[in-house]
Amino acid sequence: MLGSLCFKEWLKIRWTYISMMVLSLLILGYIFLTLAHDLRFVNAPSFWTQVIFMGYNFYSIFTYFPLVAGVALAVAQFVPEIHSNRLKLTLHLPVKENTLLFQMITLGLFSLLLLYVVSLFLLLIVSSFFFPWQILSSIIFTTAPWYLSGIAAYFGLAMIIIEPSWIKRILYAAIIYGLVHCFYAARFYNQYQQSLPYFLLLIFLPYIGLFYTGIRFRKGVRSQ
Amino acid sequence: MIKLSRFLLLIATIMVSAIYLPKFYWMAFDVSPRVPRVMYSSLTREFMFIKTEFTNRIPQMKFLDSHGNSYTRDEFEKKLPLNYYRQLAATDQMPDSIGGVKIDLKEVRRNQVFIRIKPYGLNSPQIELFPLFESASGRVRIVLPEDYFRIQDRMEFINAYTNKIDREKSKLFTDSLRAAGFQFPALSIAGNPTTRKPFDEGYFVEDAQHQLFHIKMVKGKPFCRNTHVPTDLQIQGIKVLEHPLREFYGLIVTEKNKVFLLSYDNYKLIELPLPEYNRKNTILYFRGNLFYRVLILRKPNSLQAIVTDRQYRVMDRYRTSWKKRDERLAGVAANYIFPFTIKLSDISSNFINFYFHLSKATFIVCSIFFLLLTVVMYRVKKTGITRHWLDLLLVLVTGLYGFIAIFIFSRIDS
Repeated sequence: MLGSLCFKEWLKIRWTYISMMVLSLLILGYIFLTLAHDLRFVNAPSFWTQVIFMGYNFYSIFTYFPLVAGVALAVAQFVPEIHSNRLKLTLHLPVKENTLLFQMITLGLFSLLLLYVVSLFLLLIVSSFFFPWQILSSIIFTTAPWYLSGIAAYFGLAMIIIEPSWIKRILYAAIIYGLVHCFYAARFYNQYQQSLPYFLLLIFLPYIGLFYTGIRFRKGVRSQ
Repeated sequence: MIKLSRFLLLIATIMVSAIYLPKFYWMAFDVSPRVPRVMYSSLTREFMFIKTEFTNRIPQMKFLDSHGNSYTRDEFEKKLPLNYYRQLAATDQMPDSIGGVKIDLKEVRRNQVFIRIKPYGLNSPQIELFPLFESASGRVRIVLPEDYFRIQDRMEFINAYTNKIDREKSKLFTDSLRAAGFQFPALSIAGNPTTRKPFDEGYFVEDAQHQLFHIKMVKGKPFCRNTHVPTDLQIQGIKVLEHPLREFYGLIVTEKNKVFLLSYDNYKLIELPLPEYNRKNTILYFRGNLFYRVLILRKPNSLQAIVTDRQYRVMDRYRTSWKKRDERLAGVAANYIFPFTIKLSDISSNFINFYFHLSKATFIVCSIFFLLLTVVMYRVKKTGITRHWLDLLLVLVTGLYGFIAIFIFSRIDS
């Protein structure tokens, strides 16, 4: 059962997923090129000074990639489901309804995580040619809230898409937007270093929250 | 499960509301306090002020002395020759002597000191890599070296061009540090990593046993010296500033809100007379000239100026305060509307976190209003009230935020 669910989900998201993989590779290629170029034109010690003391972010083009990937994946995976109420058929399968919805979103989460881990790993590999561990660790701490925002947006958007009422969708969107916005308050590296565990907890609120709109969908609540 | 799911969404909504609603509110209603610029006249030995007043929203500068007398800009600047020496010299109005001391412009310039310490500057992210300048190159300009150092279980230099460790130099400095009694790893490293300074004094590094070491490079050789600053000082931050006076290396701020100068006299500490300094909310301005030091403590709702002589003995004080945000009408209203506020940033730190601020008890008035509104709403919808005690409790505790939350994520009755 799980195998066929995986296959069904993969059919829905494959093109989006592959595009996101390709996009991340393009972005990383671009970062590598600009780094190599800048280090040839600005001398390396000055470049380090800009990174270390002025907080110059040479991977800033990467900022919204995790968010875009999360949003794209949620759209690809859940919009076809609500289209002509297909999710209703899915939820009639002989599996506990909640289980199925959670399996879907957890599968999505893992595919998103795979994409993120690969892109972070490649970013670190690219950077490790030029910089020592201290700067690599700052990359991890600086990009972590961007990745968390992508996951939060994925959960949040899934929740919004499944919600049957349009007015509620708009209200949820405001909340999710506010939530996602919290991950972009940094103006310097490592600013989330001390609070990452709390922000990690924050993204699981819409994860469990999906269950709420799932029930509303099943009941076909169309209030207001 | 459905209850938990909804409850978590309510929590999320309450959090988001507590972050953004007060933020928008203050964007609409906050006003900036009119803080005077405070100076000290070396001629009349009194405080002088520049205040900004608004007529029809157009700002206008008022130049005042401590008796409230008003001056024109030119008169004002003449009373403060050490503050405006460049302007006065350019218009040939600089006095020949002040208080019997003959004035030499070069000396005036050399004695100008300005240091600022911000609360969030003491608690800020830092990549622990630093350039070690050559401090006795014999050249006028300081040159950025090609390697950066870190001090963990040894002192290592990494070449920025190759990203490789310079083993020879690393060994030289590590051995020298060990010989001076340094215990690895370093707890904190403070310096002034810029080439735009008159000369280089290197870094002040706290070792694993809280000993403070002075490390610099002199003609390619390591200079490592234990400053013998007390190890129980609990240093919170060091601001290093190479100044041509060579009177002090910089300022040390401690956990217990004391501020010391680290002097050139064998690293002796000189405590600044700042009993009201609080490193979490005070911006410290240290200004010096030929005759005086003016120390200014800028707090969220007060400003204190302390004038000392060159031996840091207090000569005069000035203090002014203005209404706290909470005391103004918008603040009083905010204490009714918002039970609490969450901010992502705070003046005490450059790290993003959830900074929680509880309002005054007056918020309960609004909470009760929203509670009643909820009860009425549930009555109209004919949903039982006793079954929804958790909703009611949430509205009572979180007021407006809770009401928004239960409005957006209404109950699903099974």
